[in-house]
Amino acid sequence: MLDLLPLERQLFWGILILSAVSSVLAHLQIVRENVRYRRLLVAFTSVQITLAAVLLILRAVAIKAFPITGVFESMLILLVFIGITFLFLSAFMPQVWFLSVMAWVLFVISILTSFVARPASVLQEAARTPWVIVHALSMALSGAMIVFAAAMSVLFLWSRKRLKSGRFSTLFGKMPTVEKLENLNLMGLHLSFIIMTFGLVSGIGLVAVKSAGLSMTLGDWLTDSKIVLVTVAWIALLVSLILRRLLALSGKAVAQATLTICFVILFAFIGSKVFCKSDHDFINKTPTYDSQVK
Amino acid sequence: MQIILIGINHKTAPVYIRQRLALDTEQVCDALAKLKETFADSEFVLLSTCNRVEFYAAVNKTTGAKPIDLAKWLAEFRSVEYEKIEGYLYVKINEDAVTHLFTVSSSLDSMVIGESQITSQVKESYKNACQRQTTGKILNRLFHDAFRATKEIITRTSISNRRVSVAGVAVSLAKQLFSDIKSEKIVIVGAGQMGELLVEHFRHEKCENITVVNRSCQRGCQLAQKYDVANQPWEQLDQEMATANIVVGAASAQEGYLFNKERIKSLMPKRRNHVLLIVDITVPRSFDPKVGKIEDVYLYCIDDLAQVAQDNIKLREGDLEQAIEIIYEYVSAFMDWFMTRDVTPLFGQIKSAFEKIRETEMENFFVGPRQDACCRELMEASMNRIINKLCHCVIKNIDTISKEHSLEEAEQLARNILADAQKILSEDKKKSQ
Repeated sequence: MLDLLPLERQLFWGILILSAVSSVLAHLQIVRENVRYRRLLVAFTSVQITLAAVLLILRAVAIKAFPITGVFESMLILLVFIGITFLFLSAFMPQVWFLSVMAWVLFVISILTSFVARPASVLQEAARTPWVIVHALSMALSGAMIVFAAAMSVLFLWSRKRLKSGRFSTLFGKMPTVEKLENLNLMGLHLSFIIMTFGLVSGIGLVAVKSAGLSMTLGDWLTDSKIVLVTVAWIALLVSLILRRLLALSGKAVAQATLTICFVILFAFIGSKVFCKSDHDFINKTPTYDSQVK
Repeated sequence: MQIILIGINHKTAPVYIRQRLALDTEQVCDALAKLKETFADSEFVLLSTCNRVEFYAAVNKTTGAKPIDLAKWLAEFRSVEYEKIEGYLYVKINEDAVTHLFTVSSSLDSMVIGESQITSQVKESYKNACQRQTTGKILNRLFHDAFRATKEIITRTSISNRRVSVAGVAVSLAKQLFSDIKSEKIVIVGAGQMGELLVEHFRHEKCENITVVNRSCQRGCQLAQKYDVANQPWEQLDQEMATANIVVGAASAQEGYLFNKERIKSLMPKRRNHVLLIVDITVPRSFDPKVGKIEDVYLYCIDDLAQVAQDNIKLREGDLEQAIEIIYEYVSAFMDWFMTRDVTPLFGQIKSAFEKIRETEMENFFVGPRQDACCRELMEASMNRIINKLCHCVIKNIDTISKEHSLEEAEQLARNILADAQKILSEDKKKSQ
């Protein structure tokens, strides 16, 4: 964990500490049932985004390429996208539950990122092409959208449960409306699907054009755990959206599907790296950056 | 200066008395203009709502108008005999008046605690007074502090977002489910008293798409006309419900339930599973409780709503204590400023006199062979610190006297100190000449 250079480690510790403090403040907000720490949460999130951006810039300088081709960098991009979404929406949705859940999501993403924190490595030549940049950026953005949709799903399911059980008085003024949560969930799913499709197409384009330059064969690509899981998630997304449109799938079913898809995508991003064997990255296996710096 | 409040409200006067004293915006502006002519050196704000008429003034304690003069002026302005309203009026001075304004502004003195209308009415009254230039340093600060206290109460307590009536809770529920209830289709099944109450509440929220469906078409039409909403015959009930987002059940069945699970379930495909909120306010119930088990249907009976209203009343009591604490904090801060306000300019004069004594002493000391002494700068710095510390002691003691005794005593003490300091200065000048 946190196998990083000293400066990078310090920056990442900054992100972790800020997200931990934010999640504690988020909890206190919920307990006290008001948005007293809203400004602090917004300020801490802004600093987290800035630190993540600085880390990405350091990586870009180190690898002399767009810093999005390793899992760690992808997670940082995810953190930045979710953080920006949070900052943007916090202006329109000041309810305590929305702010707190988003702060917790950022904390979870930070923790997950720490599991894949590795030093920068020298990139494969193919990874310097625009195909890779488009592919990696699309997949990270799609991941951010699905994580956001999952956060809205959690809020939706919790709201629904309270409303159905008749214990709804605690929701008044503290939770966005059920309709808004459902719409945001669907918006997240639509955006994620569109961007992921773009990412997959650019991935296929990359394989078709540059597979010779990469260290994987076509067979490797098709059996790689990360690629299989992302494809499964994409199909699940497509099916959910079609069923929603044709059969008017209920908000609850869509929310549950979103959570499942989010889990699959997060596992594809991190789990496949930690638990399965996946060679789906664009770096040379020897971490030469450390030695270069030293 | 002193702050005076003269007023009547729903607690002290019946509606026919309040009506006689009430003023519309034009009359308020007219009254303010006349007040300014009559009492030129005073400050005024007039608050007139359906539940209260209040008159805030900051007047010179010795030369300004007395509370009874202001009360008589108000009676005369409204052409009411003073003796007829005297018994209903309340007069509050200084701290009591400040506390009252803060309580009114934060709606703690309202008929429905937590309603937001009074805050905007107080703001409007203050704005009118500002436009007529009848406010000054004291009332400006007073009203700004009142708005700050109100804001803090709204932020720190949930007093303004807890509904305490069944109809109010039903509206809150609708707002928790739908983003924009103004555009949602609302069907009121039955035109009884409770149905009418719900129509009134939804109209108050500016809902446009409301349809009344009643067994008796005549009664349904009357209600629809009264609130300018649509009316449909009983036979159209299922069609109306199929397109509705909110249904209020206010008509009982002769036996069993008016709506069972199967009847509602058969409507759902037509609705494409859009969320349906059903508020059943009839006793016995007109909707089978099993209807609530249907996906995307949220069913509540009158007991559910009444329970929330009761819980809110209890919670508001807790919030009330917190709100009162906030008010006392703000009243205390305002009174600290108000009580030392007249003495504050004297503090500057005392400090300046002390500084001059220091300068004179320094000039007298550094003469002749000591003129170019190298310790002059050090000594000046040291003397400055001594003067600052002594000033701090003097100001602190005057401040304490103003709070514990009276502003007059504090002012007298400050003037005595200033006179002594000036006497010392003039003696020093004579000596040096």
